[in-house]
Amino acid sequence: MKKIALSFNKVTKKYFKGGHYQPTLREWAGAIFTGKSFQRPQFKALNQISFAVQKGEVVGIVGSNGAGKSTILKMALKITFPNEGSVTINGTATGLLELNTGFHPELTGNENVYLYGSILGLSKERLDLIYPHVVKFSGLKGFMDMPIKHYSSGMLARLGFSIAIHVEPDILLIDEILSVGDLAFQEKCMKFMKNYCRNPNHTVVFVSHLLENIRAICTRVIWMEHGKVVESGKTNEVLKRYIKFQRGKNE
Amino acid sequence: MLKELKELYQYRYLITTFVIRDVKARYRQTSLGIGWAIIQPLFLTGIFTIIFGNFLKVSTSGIPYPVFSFIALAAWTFISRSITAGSANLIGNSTIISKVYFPREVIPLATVISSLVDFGISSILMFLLLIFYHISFTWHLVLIPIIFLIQILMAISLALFSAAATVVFRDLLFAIPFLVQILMYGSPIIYSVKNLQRQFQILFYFNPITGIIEGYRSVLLYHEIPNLIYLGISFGFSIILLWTSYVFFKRIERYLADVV
Repeated sequence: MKKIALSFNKVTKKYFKGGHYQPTLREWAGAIFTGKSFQRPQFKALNQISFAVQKGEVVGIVGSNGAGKSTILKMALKITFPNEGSVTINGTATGLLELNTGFHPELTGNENVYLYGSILGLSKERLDLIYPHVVKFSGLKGFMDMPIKHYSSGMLARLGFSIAIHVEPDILLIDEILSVGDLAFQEKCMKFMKNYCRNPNHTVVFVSHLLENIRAICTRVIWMEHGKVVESGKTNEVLKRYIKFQRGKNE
Repeated sequence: MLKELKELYQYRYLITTFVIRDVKARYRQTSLGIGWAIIQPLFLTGIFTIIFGNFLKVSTSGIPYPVFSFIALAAWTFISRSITAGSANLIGNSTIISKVYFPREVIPLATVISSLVDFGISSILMFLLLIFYHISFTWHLVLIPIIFLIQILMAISLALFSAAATVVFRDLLFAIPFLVQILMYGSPIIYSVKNLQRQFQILFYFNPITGIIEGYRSVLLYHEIPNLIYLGISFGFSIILLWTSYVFFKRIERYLADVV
């Protein structure tokens, strides 16, 4: 029996259309007088979705825009919670949803490594230990004392990715981030990911529209549409039908 | 509850980083830098002294008006900043909240601690003012940690509460600074409860900040034991509010990332 790292059990997540919205005073009053609660249009980002990821597995998630891929990652990271169903996470999970989210523009690269690392739950001692590796991988040695508001977007991406991979979580979740940075850095990242995924203790969930990257590292692919799993199975087989589906939409 | 506190302890380094970030970002790129933390309370005290000390001659039972008001302003600024910054900071950190997990109470906690830096600077100024006005130090000083502890508890509970409430009712982002301003006149800052008529003194049982401000004044200026009713009210209020706000905060935390 393999250990399960991450499992979703009949998970439903609803969002209000047009984002969260605050009822106005008039609506409150109206609701009190008529006794009716205000109804707002909702949609299901995830609809009764169930799947599991084994420990050591490298799973890719593909699907059209708005299929619910990022919502899944957000739940695995405990950023948001399901309306129905349950999410089980065994171990620590770290994710790269967008690269420069934990950064503060006024602070230097050095200070931001410590800020972002601490947001990811690392201690000062641990950060002191990985700091040289982060700088080396990012290739930003001469820029660490510069406020990151003067960084280019590629430099930010390098720094963010370098931090996240050195956290070494039990489950690493990556959302569409390898597409930033120049070709050399992208290739460096993919090379790193391939090595990283070989370790049987590293579980990876990888969301991307770049199918060649998915092919390169994932052993299994989950294809999602409209908050549901369409198909889950061997990378090449699922991707073949997924590509056919995507091309079909344009005809 | 215990599990949550343990997790919070694991994230202690994040609290430190947030505090440093707050303080640095607040004063970096300003010419005066940390000097702002000195100038603001001093100027306010100066204005208060001119208007309420000299023009209106508010009774202070013989204490020079600058020290009398400065001591109250220092405590008040700390508490009021915890309320307003607590309210703004969850929403201000929405980009991080919607992208990374960490115990969310870290943000209001860090807000309170970073206000503590300014309070520390005010305390040093206070000390200098006491020397300048030849006010002696007595054994009553040992009571300061107790008042300070209540002050911290109150600031944390208010920050948690205003943070959670602002997420539920976004209007509070505008209402809170306004309410805080009103509360300032309802607190014994420019005047002292001591010099009010008896029937008005009772009104201040409903303002838990009274215990802290008057507590500091009693200990540092009047060399007496603080009024224990006021102080008890401050303490009781803080404990009850801390508990309820924490439960409230933990409840809204689950959908925080969806709404900020």
